[in-house]
Amino acid sequence: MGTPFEDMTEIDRLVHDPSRLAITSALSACESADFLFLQRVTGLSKGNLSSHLAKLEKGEIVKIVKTGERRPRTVVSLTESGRTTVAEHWDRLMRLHEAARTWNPSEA
Amino acid sequence: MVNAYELDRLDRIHRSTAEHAHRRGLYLVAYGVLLGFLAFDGVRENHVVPVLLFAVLLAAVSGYYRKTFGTVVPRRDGARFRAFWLIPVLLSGVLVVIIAANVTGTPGYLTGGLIFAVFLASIGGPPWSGRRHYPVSAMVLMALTLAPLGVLTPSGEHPFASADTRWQLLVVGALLVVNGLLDHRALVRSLPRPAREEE
Repeated sequence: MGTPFEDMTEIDRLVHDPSRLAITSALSACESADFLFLQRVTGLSKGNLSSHLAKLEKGEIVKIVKTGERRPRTVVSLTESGRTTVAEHWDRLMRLHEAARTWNPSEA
Repeated sequence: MVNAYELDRLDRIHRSTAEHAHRRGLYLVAYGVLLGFLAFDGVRENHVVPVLLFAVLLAAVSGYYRKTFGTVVPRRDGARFRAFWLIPVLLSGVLVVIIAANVTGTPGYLTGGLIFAVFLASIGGPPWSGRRHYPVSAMVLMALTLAPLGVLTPSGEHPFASADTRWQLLVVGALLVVNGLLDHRALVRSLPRPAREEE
C-alpha cells in the first residue's frame, strides 16, 4: 500500500500555485470578475496578479477580456475547460487533505 | 501540499466572491434613507426631491463599489438567481394578506408590520448564514408592531397607526440602514486592501 501523497504527482502545477489557486477559487464562485476585485480578494499586487493571470490565460484556464476605451476594465472568467480543471483539482486536493489527515505511517 | 490554514483562506475567498453581491449593503442604506424621507408628511406630498436624492445616492453607491471593490458577475445557477423565483410567491403572499386584512378589518399597521417583517427576513436568506441580523430585525419589527405602545402616547393610539409621521416607515427605513451597514462591514472585512507594488 502506498502513501496518500503519491496522488500529488498528478497535481496540476499551473493551478496549484497558492496565488493562482486563490485566483481560480474566486473565479469558480462567479461568472466573471474584474481585475480590481481579484486584486482585493486575493491581496496580490497589480504586477503579481497580471503575471499569474497571463500564465493562467496561456494555459487556457482563464479568458481575459479588456473592455472600455475611456475607462478600461479587465474582466476575467474561467474557460469551460478551466472550470472543469479547477473543479477536478479541488476534488483531488480535498481527497489528499482527507487522506493525509487520516494517514497513519506505521500502517503503511 | 495545501495545509488547513490555506484551505480555510481559499474557502473564505470563494465565499467572499459568491456573496459579494449580497454584501454591497450601501444600496440597502439608500433604500432605507428613501423610506425614512417618505415617512414625513411634507416630503410625501412632493416626491421629486426624495426620488432625485435616491437616484443620486444609488449612482454614488454604484460608483463607489465599482471603484473601490471592483465588479463581480454572480453565477447564473447561484442562490441569488434561485431567489428570483421567490419574488412572485412573495408578491402573491402580500396580495393574500392585504385581501384577508380588508375582509377581517385588521388595522393597516399590523398588516404593514407583517409584510415588512417577511420582506426583511427574506432579504437575508434563508438560511441567513452570516446574516442573522435580518431575521433579528424582522422579529424586532414584529415585536414593535404587536407591543401595546399606544399606552405610551397621549392619544392612546399605536405610534405605527399615526397618519402624520409614518413611524412604521421610519422604523423599517432605520432597520434597512442598520442591516445595510452590517452587510457593508462584512464586505470591507472580507476584502483586504490591495498590496503595494514591490519596489
